[in-house]
Amino acid sequence: MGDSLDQFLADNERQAFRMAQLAIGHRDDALDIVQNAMIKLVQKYANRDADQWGPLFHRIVQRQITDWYRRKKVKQQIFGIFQNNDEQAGSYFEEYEDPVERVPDKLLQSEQAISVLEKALQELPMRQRQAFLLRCWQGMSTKQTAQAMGCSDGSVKTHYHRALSSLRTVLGEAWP
Amino acid sequence: MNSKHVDFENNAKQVLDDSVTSMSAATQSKLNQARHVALSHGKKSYVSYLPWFSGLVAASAVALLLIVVMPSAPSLSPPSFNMNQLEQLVMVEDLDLYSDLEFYQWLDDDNG
Repeated sequence: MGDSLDQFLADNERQAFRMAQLAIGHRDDALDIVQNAMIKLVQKYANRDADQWGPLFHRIVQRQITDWYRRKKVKQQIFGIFQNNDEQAGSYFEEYEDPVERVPDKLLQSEQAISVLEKALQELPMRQRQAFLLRCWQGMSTKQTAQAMGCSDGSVKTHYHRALSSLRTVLGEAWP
Repeated sequence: MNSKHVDFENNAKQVLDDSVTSMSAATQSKLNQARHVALSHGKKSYVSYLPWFSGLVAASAVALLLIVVMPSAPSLSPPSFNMNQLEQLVMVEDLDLYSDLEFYQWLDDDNG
């Protein structure tokens, strides 16, 4: 059980991290989200069937992301929205690793592509971004996405369609 | 869904997959640490606290209900039961628990 859960987490942790980072735009907080999600999964659902871990893990990660936004909103209300926005925008772009040391041209091109996509994703409302990442990247069905997001199938369809349309409009020229 | 949408989705998926495979060693190391921390949490507290906590809350609720009801119940007829009262009695500050209960509800609804 322990070994297989370890393997499950090892297989999913990087995608979960990128998902959280894309959702909130902050590396350290994304790491916290993934760690907390892993702890919850281990503590509460380790004895479930392995095929349930995937949907549960995504559900927990999405819940953590939503909570992060709630906390952020409260902080903004307390400390002032403009100050926090400036800080957030700054920290977001500072979090990317420097690709120069690690890669030649191809990977640099890939870094640029993800950078463009990330910026476009950041412009989307949270729910549209979640729907896009779960449906398009994770390959979840509408129903699975609805379960992970805690909303109806219809809402997922609406969010996803709007996200796709917005991204295609924004990335139309820049997309490789 | 038209083919342009499909092409766009495939492209986006590829870019996102690439971003995972090109993740820095430092980040991967932190994720590895986080996983080990999570697994050690499981070993420490594998026995869930929830049944104990739920039992404690239920016992407290019953005890408080008895205290509230007893002085005004000389007759043998059952006391009137107010759900709001019970809800207030079992109310706790732990929002995490509410969130979990909601989550369990979701699990029951969809996987049960």
